[in-house]
Parts: sequence; structure tokens; C-alpha cells
Amino acid sequence: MLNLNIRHEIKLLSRNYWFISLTIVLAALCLYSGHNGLKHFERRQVDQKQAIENHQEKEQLLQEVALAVSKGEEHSLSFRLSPTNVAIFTGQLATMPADAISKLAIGQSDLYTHQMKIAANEDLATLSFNELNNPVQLLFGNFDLSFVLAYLVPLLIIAFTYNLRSQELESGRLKLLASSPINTNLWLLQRFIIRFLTLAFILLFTIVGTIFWVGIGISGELYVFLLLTFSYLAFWFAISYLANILGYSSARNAVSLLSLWILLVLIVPTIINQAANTVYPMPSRVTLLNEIREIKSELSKKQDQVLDEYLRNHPELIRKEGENAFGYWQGYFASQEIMEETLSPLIGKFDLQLSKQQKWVNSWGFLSPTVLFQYGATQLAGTSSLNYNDFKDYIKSFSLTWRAHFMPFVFDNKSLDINDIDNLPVFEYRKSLNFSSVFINISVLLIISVLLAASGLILEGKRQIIQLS
Amino acid sequence: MLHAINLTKKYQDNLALDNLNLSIEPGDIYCLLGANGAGKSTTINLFLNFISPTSGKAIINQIEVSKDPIAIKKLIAYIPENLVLYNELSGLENLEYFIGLAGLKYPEDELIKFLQEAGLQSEAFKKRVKTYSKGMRQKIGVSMAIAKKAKVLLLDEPTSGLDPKASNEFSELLLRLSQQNVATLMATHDLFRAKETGTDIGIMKSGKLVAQLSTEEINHSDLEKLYLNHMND
Amino acid sequence: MSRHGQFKWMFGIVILLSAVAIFISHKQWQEKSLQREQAEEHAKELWLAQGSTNPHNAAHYGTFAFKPQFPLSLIDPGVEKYTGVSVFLEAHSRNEADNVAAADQTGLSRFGDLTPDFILLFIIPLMIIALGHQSVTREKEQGTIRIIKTQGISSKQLIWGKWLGNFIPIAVLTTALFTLAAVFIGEFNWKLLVSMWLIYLVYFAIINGITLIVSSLTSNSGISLVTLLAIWIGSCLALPKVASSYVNEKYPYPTRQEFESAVAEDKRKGLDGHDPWSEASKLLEKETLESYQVKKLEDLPFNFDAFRMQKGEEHEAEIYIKHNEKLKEVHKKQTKVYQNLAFLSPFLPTRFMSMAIANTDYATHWNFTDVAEKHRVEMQRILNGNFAKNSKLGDWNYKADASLLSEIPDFQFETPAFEEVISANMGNLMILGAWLFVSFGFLFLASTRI
Repeated sequence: MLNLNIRHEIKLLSRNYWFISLTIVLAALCLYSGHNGLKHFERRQVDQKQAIENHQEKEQLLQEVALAVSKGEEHSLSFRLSPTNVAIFTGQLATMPADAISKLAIGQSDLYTHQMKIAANEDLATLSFNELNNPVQLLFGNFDLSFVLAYLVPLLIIAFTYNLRSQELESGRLKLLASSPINTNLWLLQRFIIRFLTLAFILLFTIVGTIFWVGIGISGELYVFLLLTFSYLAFWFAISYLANILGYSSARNAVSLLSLWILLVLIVPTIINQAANTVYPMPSRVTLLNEIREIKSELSKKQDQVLDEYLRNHPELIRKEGENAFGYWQGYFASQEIMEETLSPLIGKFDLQLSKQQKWVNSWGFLSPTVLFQYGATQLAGTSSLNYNDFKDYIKSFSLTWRAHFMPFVFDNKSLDINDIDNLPVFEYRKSLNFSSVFINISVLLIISVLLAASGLILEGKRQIIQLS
Repeated sequence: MLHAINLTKKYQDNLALDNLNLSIEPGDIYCLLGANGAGKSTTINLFLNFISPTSGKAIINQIEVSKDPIAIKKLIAYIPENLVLYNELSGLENLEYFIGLAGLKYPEDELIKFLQEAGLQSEAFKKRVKTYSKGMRQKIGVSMAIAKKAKVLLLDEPTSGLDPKASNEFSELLLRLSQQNVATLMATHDLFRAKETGTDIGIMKSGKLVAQLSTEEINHSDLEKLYLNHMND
Repeated sequence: MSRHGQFKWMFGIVILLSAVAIFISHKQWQEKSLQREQAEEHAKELWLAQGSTNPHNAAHYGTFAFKPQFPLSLIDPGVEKYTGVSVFLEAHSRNEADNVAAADQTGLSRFGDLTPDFILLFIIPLMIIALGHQSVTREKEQGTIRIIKTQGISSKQLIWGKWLGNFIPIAVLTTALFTLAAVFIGEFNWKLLVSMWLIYLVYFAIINGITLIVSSLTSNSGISLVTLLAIWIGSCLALPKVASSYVNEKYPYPTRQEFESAVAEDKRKGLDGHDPWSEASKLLEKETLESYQVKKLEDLPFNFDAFRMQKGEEHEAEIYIKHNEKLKEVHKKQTKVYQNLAFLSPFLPTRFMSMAIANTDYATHWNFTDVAEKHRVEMQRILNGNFAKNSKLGDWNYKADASLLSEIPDFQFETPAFEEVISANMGNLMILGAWLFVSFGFLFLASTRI
């Protein structure tokens, strides 16, 4: 029967305008959204390149000065070699390079920044990771490939399949089919699978075309992305299959499938999000600001005490000549570190709450296949909130490294020499690939699809074949 | 070949078929007459397992229909009042697909022979079905029965809406099939056709078989009187 | 399921969703409002707790300007989630508004929130489509349209009757939703609430019109439904995203890094209040000495260090204005694109109008940051003025009286008057009006074709 159905379905599809119109629509959507992703990516690259160049200029100047000083020459900018100057004004640049695959899912990359100057005087608590943007754009979101796949393709699937059985029922052809020695639900399932494969093939073709066009190299992520996409499509085919078996008429199938789309794509995600915010509300950032200031002013009032306490913890920094020689900057750096320590439980509350929200969303996200897809896609693209949280963590830990690196210089009152300049800590972000959570999403989608299909098969003989007038 | 034993179908409080007993042997053409809603289609649908009986049994070739529907569907061919085919496919392709579903595969020249046997004019073979008349579509139905070598033919008002010529051709096809020992059960409104083609006649009313007779026992006008009598009670 | 039953279900679900949305929004609104009030008070306490201090130290210590929460943001939080709520006011630099809520949420927040505006903008239009898509096609399919026509009812009457029959329940629902919201909000400006209510009624009237036009022109309910849903997805989901992507490509904002380094570059070129050796400082020195006709800075009747700082502050403020103006230019171009696209989708003008009336649009945010900057400049002027007047050159140890701190006025952000909001959004209002007008026109035409 399968062979027969494949030939049959191909004949039907090719004599319909479906093949052509579906291909055109999908190709147009994929290419346009790919274009948007590409432009976004390109801008990200240009901005990052610019930032890196600017920083390199600064470093170069520093090297020139250091070279001159090492040769014993006088240089008007030699003050730039002081540890505080390097630690604060030169700083280090932290970047989050864009993956080519991010062209497929813009995700959170329009909200957060990808380059940040690390300076020793910044408080970790008040670091802002937001990119300058028109909030209206953030509100509306982007027309990228993941939007097309998550929102629009399910609708195409619904349009492509909502009446596969009901049409047979309504035309009366189902009677003729059911008088054949076949399991009609299996027969229907075969047609669905064939249509699924057809759409998957067209989509593969257009996505690969888009990928080729926007220039994304073949990688493991890309394969997983395709797998995720097809699992997501499989879900929609499966749900439409079951709706066909349970439904009485094409009109009702259309309405119920579209309602389901609205529920799963639009409403459930917003409810999960709202619930996460209500169950685990974020503490107030504005309150935090004041707390930070309070701690700061307290620390600044007892600067000397702070320094003493600091040195007790860091005896290696005590200079042989005696403690009293320390001045403003030593006190400043010391209080910075103590402040970070004091603040960390306060900031920890935010991280804790966010991780609780994330957990909530991860467990309830299974209610909406769209959430599963979107999460997987953005993770693969390196633009999910998890990736940006990673980036933030990298920055925070690097900031500490950066500051710590200069402590011996500060307490020795020693300017950096050419060697020191070459050996400054360098920031490196590595995208952590959590394939396992993506695979969980894929498996969940596939399991649900199989269950839906199986429940359709179980209903064989239980659904009506003739129209009751 | 075809037996109904106390066959009953109830929809909520509506008795669609009431204790039907019926038996059709190979070569018989059994015509069910009756008004709309008399239970003719219900009977046929029960034999097709489209609906399941409330009580009683529908048996084809010693197999109870609801026990093994797939097995009995290998034996039967069904032609409804309005045979709907895939409009985008040709008659030949439709035939190929539907008998394919029965697990049969023939080369094209054999398929063409079946179509010829069913009396379809050869220009139509490769034309799309959407250009077909109703009579032509019914002929595809017959060609399916021929190709399937069906032992049982279930017909649900196959000639209604056909012009007299097409209707006549259809009757001839039925007769030819019955000569090949096919057992036929046909629901119809057409008394004249039933008398001409059928071997037996059953008159149904409100789900009950009220009269059963052989066409040889009765002439046209008596049949009509009998039928109207039953209808008027 | 009967038509009637379907309606009941749909209304039930939408009413439930609305009630939940309003309840949750109200709870969150109250919490945030309380947090802001407390933070504001606390900030003020901290500011005053500095006591007697050097005015410039106080300027560096700084304080915060908090954006108030407006009552109608309960109905439409607009872009609030993506804009900051507080600005740090300090010497020498204009800070961006900070603490963006979306940055503190999971990626799911980009799917949107279950707030009343979500229901008004997305769900109720869907409901109109669900209720109305078959109102004419059904009559056609069942052939009842002929019967109706033979009763002496014209197609025009039929269509307008259907229009009203479809619109009234929606209008009732909308009114109920606004009333419920009004009860929860408590204190608000009636004019704003009523005009927001009207905007949504117009939006629904347009969608109702489109629904009936499509229903009259299509031959069966299925096609009508699919067409209408395609229109809905196109105008409510796809087009705004297309607009965003297009705007981003065509008129992008600089990155924060770029923006900040451009400002820093300009600052470096100009007068630095702390740097007496720069060329600009020397020039200022010369000019000041000349205008007061004295030879030495010490002979000036005020502390020249503080005076220079104030001048530097003014100069820097100008740099900030210049760069923010540039940003606003980009923003204006972006807005233009959105407005042009509004001709393709009634969603866009409604979206913008609703945010504007709720004072949660981008313009309000700009306004807030501008007012905060003005406040910052004024704060610097007072502090530097005190410093200049009461100390001598080089007297960095000068401490002003604690009362100076309370001379700094409280930060006040008033929303623009109702008339201003309306006139600023005339474009959107006109487009919305045009949509209404055109939809009625087409409905009239469509009524002649059934």
C-alpha cells in the first residue's frame, strides 16, 4: 500500500498547484527571513570589528609607549602605563563573536550587547548588558527563519492537511476507500507521512538554499537544527492527523486546528511566561541600586579600615617598607573587592530567581511545541538567553580576573612594562553547546508525534465512514 | 454467500433495521426496494462494516463481517449511488489505485481490458475523471469489481440519476457478472429495473423486510401494486 | 456543537483570559509601583544623608530619577519592558535609562505577556473573525440569502445588520474589559481611558468590516476563514516583524559601544572641567580673565575651578544633546517607516495609539530621559554655582552646608497633556480613521455584490 500511496500522492500533488505554490511560498519566506538574519549578523560583525579595532588601537598605543619607556626614552603618555590607568582606561574588550548559524535565529541578540569594555572600576552589580535599540523593534521582534518555522510553517501544514480525511468523507470517496481491504487510518497515516516527507523535502531544499545563500557552513548544530525543525513539523502533521480522524467536517477541522495553533503558539507561551514572573518575581533592581549606594558610602567612610581588612586577607600584597605608604587607589581597589563580596548575595538573588524562572519555563515549556522549538533553535544559534547568561558569567568572572591581575601592580606602585603589556589577561567567550537539552526537546516532539499518530491508529473502525445526513 | 441473521441496527431510539433475515447465493441479484429510510442503505452499510450491528450478524462467505472486515472486503465490490473518484486522475489511474488498495497489480493492457469489459469508451481511459459523466464513473466502479474478481457486489442505488441508456447498460453488466456467479445485493428505487435485472426482490419498510419474492413469480404491474400496498399501510 | 454553544465557549475563554490578565497585571503594577516609591524615597534619604559635603563630591555621588508608573500601563504596558525605569544622575555624564525588565526574564518573554493589550490587540480580532467569517457565506451556502432577499430586505440592510450583530457583543466585551480595568486602576484620567476605549472600538470596527467584506466576497466559509486568518497573521504578526527587520536594516541605531565612544571622542576634543591644561581650558581662562578685567584667576570673585567645571558640564551636556539628537533623527526615520507600513495593517496605528495614550510608548521614554537630563544639568548648575560662589581657587576641601542638598528640587516627570498626546499621534489617528472609512466603503461595495 505504501508504494501505491506514494505514487498516488505524488500524482495528486503534482496535478494540483500545491507543489508549486507551497515551494514558492516557502522559498520566499525562507529567503526573506534568511536575508533579515544575514543583515542582522553582518551588522553584528561590523560592530564587533569596529569595537575590536578601537581597542587594538588603544593597545597599540600602550605598546608604543611601553616600548619607548623600556628604551629609557621619555614619553608624554607614560602615565598611561600606570596600573590604574591600564586597568580602568585602557581596559579589556570582552566580545561575544557571532556564529554563522545565528543567521537562522536572531533570538535575544537584538536585546543584549556583544561587546563590552571591562574596566576595573565597574561594579559588577550594575553592569548593563543591554544593547541600544528602539524598544518598538524589541516589542515586535524579528522576521527571521525561526519565526517562519515556528509560526508560519505550522499554518501551512494545517492548510496542507486539514481536510485529508474529511474531504474523502465529505465527497463520499471514503466509502469506496473503506470498502477496500485496508486499514483506513493506516492508509491516512501513510498519506500524512508522505505529505510530511514532501514538505520536509521542499523545506530542506529551501532551507539549504537559504543557508547556501546567506553563507552558513555545515556543522553539527546545523544538522541538529534541521532535525529539530523536522520534529517540530512532525508534531503539526501528527496533530492534524488526529484532528482529521476525530473531526467530522473540513470546516470544523480547520477551526479546531487553528484554535490549537493559537493556543499553542500564542497563548500558552505567554501564560507560562506570566506565570514564571508571578511565581518567581524578580527582586527590584531599583531597590538594589540604593542598597549598592548605601554599602558604597559606608565603605568609603571607613576607607582605612577597609584597606586593613583587605590586607589581612591578602598578605602577599603588603609591601616590605610598611603599610602606611598606601594611598587612594589602593584603598579604592580594596574597597571594590570588599564591595563585590558584600553585594554578591544581593546579586545572587537575581541570578537565583532567574534560574528558577528558567527551570519553571523549561518544565512547563513542554506544553507548547513552539517553545520547545524556539528554545532549541536559539540555543543552537547561540542567541538564547542561556547563551547570554553564559556571556554575562564570563564577563563577571573575567572582570574579577582583570582586577586581580592589577592588584600586585597597584600595591607595588609599579607601572607596567612592555612585558606586562604583552601578558595582560585576554577575554575569551566559548559558546557552550548544550546539545542534550536540544535533544530532549527533539525527543519530546517526536514522542508526542508518535503518540498522536498511534492514538489515531487505535481509533481504526471507531470513526464514522459515512456522512450522517 | 451473503447472509443476514436477525440483523438489527438501532440509533438511539430509532430502529433503522429490525431483525433482518436474508440470504443471497452466488448468481443471485437481490434487489432491496423501499422508500427513503426504509433501511436499505443500512443493510448495505452493515455488510460493508461501515456501521456495526446492534445485534445479529452479517455474514459473507461464512465470515462474520464485523469479526474480520479486511478479509471480507477482499471479496466484495461496492458501488454507491454516487461513485466519487479522484478527479485529478484518469479513469485508468483511478482503477489502478483502487484495486491496488486491494493488493492487486495488473499491467496496463489488462487494466484496459477491464475498462473495456465495463463498457467504457476507449477515448475516456486516459482522460481525467472530472470530465466524466456519472454513468462513466459507475462503469469504473464495475471495472473495479471485475478487476477485483469480486464474489459479492454491494450496490447502493447505483442507477439513480442515470439516463435510461446508461441505466440499461449498467443492468447488462450486472447480468454478465451474475453469470460469473457473483452474488449481488442492490438497493434501488427503480421497480422496473429491479424486475428486469433482479432474481429476487425484498421490500423494506421502516427497517423491516415486509415482503420477499422471486422476480419470476410476479409481473411488473403486480410488483408495482404490491409495492404501493406496502407503502400505503 | 451549535453556533450558539461555540460563541459561549469563546466568550467564556476570552473573559477568563481578560480577567486573569487584568488581575495579574494589577498585582504586578502595584508591586512595581511600591518598589519605585520606596526606591525614590530611599534615594532621597541617601542623597540628604551626605550632609555637609563638597558640592562636586555630591555631584559625583549623584542620585536617581525614576520613571513613574502610569495608571493605564496596566492595560497597555507598551514598550516598558524594553526601556529602563531609572536614570542615574551624576556629574559629567548623561546615563542611559537602566534596569530593563526584559533583560531580567527568560527568553520566553519575547513571546509576549498575558496582559490586557495582548487580548485586545490579538485575541479579540481573532474572535471577531471566528464569529463573523461565516455570517454571509453561511447564508449563501444554505441558500437562505434568497429567502431573506425575497422578504424585501436589501443586501445593504442585510450587511449592516450583520455588521452590527457581530460588533455589538464585541463592543460589550470591550466595554466590560475596560470597566473592569478601570475598577482595578482606581485613579486615572477619564479622557485617556475613554479615548483608549474608543481607539480599540475603532480597531474592532475595522476588523469587523474586513471580516464581513471577506465573508461577502467569498463563496464558502472555509475560504473566508482562511483568507481572514491570513490577513490577521499578516497584519498582526508578520508585518510588525517585517517592519522591525526592515527598519533595523535601513536605519540602524549605533551600538551602545559606538555611541559611547563617539560621545567620549567629542568630549575629549572639548572642554574637560577637570583638566586645566587643555586648550579649551586655557581659552576659557583667557576669556574669563578678560571679561572680568583681572590678571589672575585668584582675583576672580568666584572659584574658577568650579566655574570651569560648570562650563565643562554645559559643554558636555551639549555634546550629549547633539548625539541624542542624532539618535532621535534615526528614531524619526524609523517611526516614519512604521507609519508608512500602517497603511498595510490597522494593527500598527492601533498599537502605537494605545501605547501613546497609556504613556508607555517610546516617545514618552525619550521624554523621560530628556527631562531627567534637564534635571541633571540643573542639579549640576546649583552645585557648581554654590561651589564657585563660596570657595576660592584650589579650595577643594570646601564643604557646603547640608542645606545645599535640599536645594536640589525633586525630580518631577509630568506626562504630556491629553491634547498633546493626540496631536503628536495625529498621523496614526488619521491612518486609523482612513482604515475605518475605507473598510466601510468596501463593505458598502461588497454589499452590492451578494
